[in-house]
Amino acid sequence: MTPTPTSRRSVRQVLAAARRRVGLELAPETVARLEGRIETLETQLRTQTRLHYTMAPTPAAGRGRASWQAYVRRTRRLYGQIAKLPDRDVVPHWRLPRKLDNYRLAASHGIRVPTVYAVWDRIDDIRLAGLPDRFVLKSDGGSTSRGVFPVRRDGVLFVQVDGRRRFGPTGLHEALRDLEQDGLARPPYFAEELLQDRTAGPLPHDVKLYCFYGEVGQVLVRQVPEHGEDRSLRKRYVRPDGTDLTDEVPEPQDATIPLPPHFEEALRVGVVLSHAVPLPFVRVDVYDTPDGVVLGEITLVPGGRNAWSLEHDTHLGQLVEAAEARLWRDLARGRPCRALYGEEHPPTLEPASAGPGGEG
Amino acid sequence: MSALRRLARGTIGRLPPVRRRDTVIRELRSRVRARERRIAQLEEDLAASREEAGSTRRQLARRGTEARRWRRMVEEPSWHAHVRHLRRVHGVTGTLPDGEDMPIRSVSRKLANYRLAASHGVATPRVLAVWSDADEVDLHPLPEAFTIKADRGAASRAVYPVRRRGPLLEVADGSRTLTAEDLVRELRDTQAAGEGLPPHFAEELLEDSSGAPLPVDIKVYTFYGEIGHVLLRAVHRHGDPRGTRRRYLLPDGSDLLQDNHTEVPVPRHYETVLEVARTLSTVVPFPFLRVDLYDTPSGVVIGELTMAPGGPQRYPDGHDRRLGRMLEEAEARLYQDLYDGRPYAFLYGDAPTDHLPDVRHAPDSPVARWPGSTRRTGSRP
Repeated sequence: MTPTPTSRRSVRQVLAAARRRVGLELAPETVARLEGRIETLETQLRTQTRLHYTMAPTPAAGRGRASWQAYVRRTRRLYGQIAKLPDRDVVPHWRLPRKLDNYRLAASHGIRVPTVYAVWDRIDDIRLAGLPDRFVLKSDGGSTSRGVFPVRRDGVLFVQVDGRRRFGPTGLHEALRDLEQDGLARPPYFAEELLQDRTAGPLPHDVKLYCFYGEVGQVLVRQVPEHGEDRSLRKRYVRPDGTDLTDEVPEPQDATIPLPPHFEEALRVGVVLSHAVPLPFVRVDVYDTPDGVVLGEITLVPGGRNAWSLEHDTHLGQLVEAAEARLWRDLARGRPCRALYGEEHPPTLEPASAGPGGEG
Repeated sequence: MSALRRLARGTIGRLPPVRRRDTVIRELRSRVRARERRIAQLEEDLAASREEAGSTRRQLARRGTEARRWRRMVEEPSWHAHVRHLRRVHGVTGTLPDGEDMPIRSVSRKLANYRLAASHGVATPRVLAVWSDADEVDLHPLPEAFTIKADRGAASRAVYPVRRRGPLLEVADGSRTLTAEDLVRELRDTQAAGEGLPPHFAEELLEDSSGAPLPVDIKVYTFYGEIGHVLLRAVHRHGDPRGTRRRYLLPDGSDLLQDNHTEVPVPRHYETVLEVARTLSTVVPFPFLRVDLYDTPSGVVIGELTMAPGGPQRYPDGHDRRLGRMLEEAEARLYQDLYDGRPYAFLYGDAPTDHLPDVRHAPDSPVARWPGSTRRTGSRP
């Protein structure tokens, strides 16, 4: 006799009840209660910690100590002043966000950069027909993940690799045009390889190096399962020696994220590139792929509040002041106030343009 | 009976299904205990964090105004915050090899500044003698009135404006009399203490165009071509900060602060003061420079140049913000010039300097010249 679905279910229910009676299972409500309490407490603790740092956001600078947060804000204001200057294009701060220039700079120092398939001066010139089936379309001067479209071809359409957006045959052009109109994307535009294709699994390790004119002060390792989707983002802040900055950075962190396999190489890239740019601080973003470390971008200052513990705020503030002193010393010794190119690989990207504070 | 029960329990307990059940129960209990421990830990952390936040909140409430000022100094441009930042970076540069020849440090060399200013047509005090060490100082050939200075020394340390009174020397405001030997010994002491570094030199004693025994210090706060304010400082007694009267002026000559000592006269050559200060502010590679000048009967004369002035440097919030903003705008213009090829050095002009001792900021570096940028004036008219 075959048991009916109903009888099978009732047998399971009877068995589960019996197992609970003999103590083989925790009552689900007990588990739920405990888990719920843990979750509530963890949320409260996070809120409380953040509240604490929010209330005292400027202790280091206020007490006359070096302060990282003060530097970040000062530099953002300075960037605003530079934006108002005529011929602002020659100022290193203003040039820095240009991705292709940074690729040329990195390549000249023997640092790997993504393969660039094509560069176009205007949106109307963009021709996607000859490109591989998967590529990233980028704006040279876009920031964060705006103006960056990692896509795969689907017939005449293009689908963002995370599947979140679909574009018609001219949809990518339109998306870039909208960004350009809002000032969020700047020409030239270019297509490059999808670094994801170098790994079998998800996106490569995303490593952000906080660099102080030749010295790395802190590293942010991120795991971004999906493009531009910050909800699923997991972070870990470490010192250059790989130790965690759990207490110093009051943001949700996941210490189980592994350090990238080429961590030392990533640090070296940070040292070389930050020394090449005439600024006391830059953040060098790289990807750790099976082939080694590949440059992502170089940024002037990180976004966000940067409200960290007093000690850490002071520590990074001191690093930036020491970097300023070394930079001024080098300028006094005759260092040109522009990006310094290496000899290793002559830059070949087209159309040719000047570097970040490069050949003006 | 109890022995029998124990035996039965032991036998049942060894039955494989029962043993498995007991293992599972143990695991589940340990999981419950782990969760309870986590809860206890979290409750403890939360309590500690609340306590810490509470203490911060109480501190903030107590400090009120001060805390708001701290926050403002980071969130908005602030002159006060910048000066403290500069002093710290200045401290770091002192530890670098080659640090002493960096402009940020060598700007304190008075004789080099005279030559720099003279090359731009700015009048300097007449230098009467130079000695490479305090021990070599010889006052005999000097005239009736003169000033002795150490090349590097701040805040009137190792500066002696004196007149001869028979065999003695009287400090120009009449506050003190000393012998030539006393003076040389004091120079030697400040040199040993690192506060007044050689060479030492003698220059003419400057007169004030208002007739005061000690000339009024005119301290112009400049921001790479622009002027923030002018501080007039009338010293009561040389080297004594008590009784000093201050008057702050805006470039248009209007008074800046309410408690200004308005009896300190506006310099007769005020326009020249502003013009000289503007000129000198762009020949240094700094977004800020304090240009100290004297208004003498024969015209405006340079005193010294300072990159990070001492003292509290505190002004009302609005003015602090204004100076902070001027500084950041100046920094942007300076960066642009540096990119355009401006040497990160003191820029010399073409006016004659042969009447002054050949002392330079960085003895090993060539004299830097730069024709200037067409963009120099920046975004402001």
